[in-house]
Amino acid sequence: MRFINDKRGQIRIIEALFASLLMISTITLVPSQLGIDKTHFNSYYSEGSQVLISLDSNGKLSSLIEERNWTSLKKCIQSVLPVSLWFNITVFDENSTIINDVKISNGGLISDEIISINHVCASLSQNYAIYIVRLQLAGVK
Amino acid sequence: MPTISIDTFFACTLIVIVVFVSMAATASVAAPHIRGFQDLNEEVYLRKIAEYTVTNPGSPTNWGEIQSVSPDIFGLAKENSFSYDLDVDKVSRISNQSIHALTYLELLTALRLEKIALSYSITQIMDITIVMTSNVTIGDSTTYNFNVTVSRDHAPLVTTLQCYVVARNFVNSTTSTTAIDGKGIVQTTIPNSSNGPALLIIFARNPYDSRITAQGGYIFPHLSLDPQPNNTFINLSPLNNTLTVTPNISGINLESGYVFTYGYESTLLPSSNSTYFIPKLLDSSPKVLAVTGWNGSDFFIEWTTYPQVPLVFGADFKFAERFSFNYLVTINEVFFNLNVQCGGPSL
Repeated sequence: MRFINDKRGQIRIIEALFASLLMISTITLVPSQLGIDKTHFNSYYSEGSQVLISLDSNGKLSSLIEERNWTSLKKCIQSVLPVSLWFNITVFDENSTIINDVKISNGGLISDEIISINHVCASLSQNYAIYIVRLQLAGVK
Repeated sequence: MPTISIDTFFACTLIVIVVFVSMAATASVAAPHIRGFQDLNEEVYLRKIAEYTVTNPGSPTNWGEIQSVSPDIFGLAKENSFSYDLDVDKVSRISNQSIHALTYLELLTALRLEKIALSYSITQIMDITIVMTSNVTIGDSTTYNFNVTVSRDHAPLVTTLQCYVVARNFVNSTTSTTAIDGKGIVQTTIPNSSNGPALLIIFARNPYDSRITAQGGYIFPHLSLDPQPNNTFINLSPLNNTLTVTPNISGINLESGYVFTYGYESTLLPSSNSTYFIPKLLDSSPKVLAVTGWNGSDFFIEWTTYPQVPLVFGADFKFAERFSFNYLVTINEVFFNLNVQCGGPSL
């Protein structure tokens, strides 16, 4: 009877329950903080940069842009990038105006994780035009 | 005992249990992620090492050309070159087909790294498959038909084909193309008097960029028994524009040497009994070197490429965890795929 009437200890139980809820809630937060998966950023960025640098190493990239030969540019990129990668290319002039009037891409987007690489190249012709090539890449997760 | 004490005891017990459960749960949840961060750090570290060996010429900078020199510092890049441009002789020095190849111990010594294993693999950017489909002998010559398939990662490619045939006292060339399905047909005719092994060499080139060129070889019997596998009679080791021929068996007599690229063909001039000069050809193409000769009364043709690709050099990671880094590199103005595999101290 004394136990039933004495309700002073109940506050400790309620306190403990709140403390337990607090601790459990922190556990649920842990995965969301640490659950940032490894992305493909490094590998895609590395592969994309190499492709642009390699294609531009003998002036091929800038000459195709100079000629506005978007079909050949697409085929060249397609030939050296891994088949499993989606790509989209946008070419800007020195005023950041898009100059490719057709889409330079190998199809529909296959992933939400897109990385973007900007590469500056200069024309080998006498006008020394500067172009910024933006290569966007995505792959199957 | 007062009620409040019992309640406090239960509350404390509950809290302690929850704390232990929380710690255990947090540790189990966090452990893989913490390990993942370590992996990320290690990946960056190993990537830098791989990148260094690909973009630096090493020391001495011309260590590839001199067969008696081992590098003090390992690097595959061409001297004073653009990024990812490899030296053809440094690549030849890591080919296990070459008599001038470095040992893995020499590589590790030159890398100056401990507890890190490396492996290099270089392959062509396109795969060429050659299959003989038929042959017909009419009069004093035989016509052979081949199906050629050119692909990249199993995706068919449209290419132009330049083909050469080498047989006894006979060299000929022909051209063809592969269609959108990556398939093409090559036909060649060889005089019956040139009976013995015959070698078909095919170069495939992407029509949009000449640097995307690859080669394939196919040896077949021409009115004779099946030819022996390549490197049976002699070993061919090109280095510093010189082809060194090393007999694998005694009693070998060399007859002729040839060099082929996509756009050129030439005979090799001998510089001694066992070496040939390799001419410098201005062509974005791998070189195929073929040497003919006699083993007693048996005629043979052996061949190699310059650079000696495909190649695999370094540690064997067959069952081990490792990081893998892919590079698109140029060697003598031709694109190749380079894969560097690294195993770090914690793997």
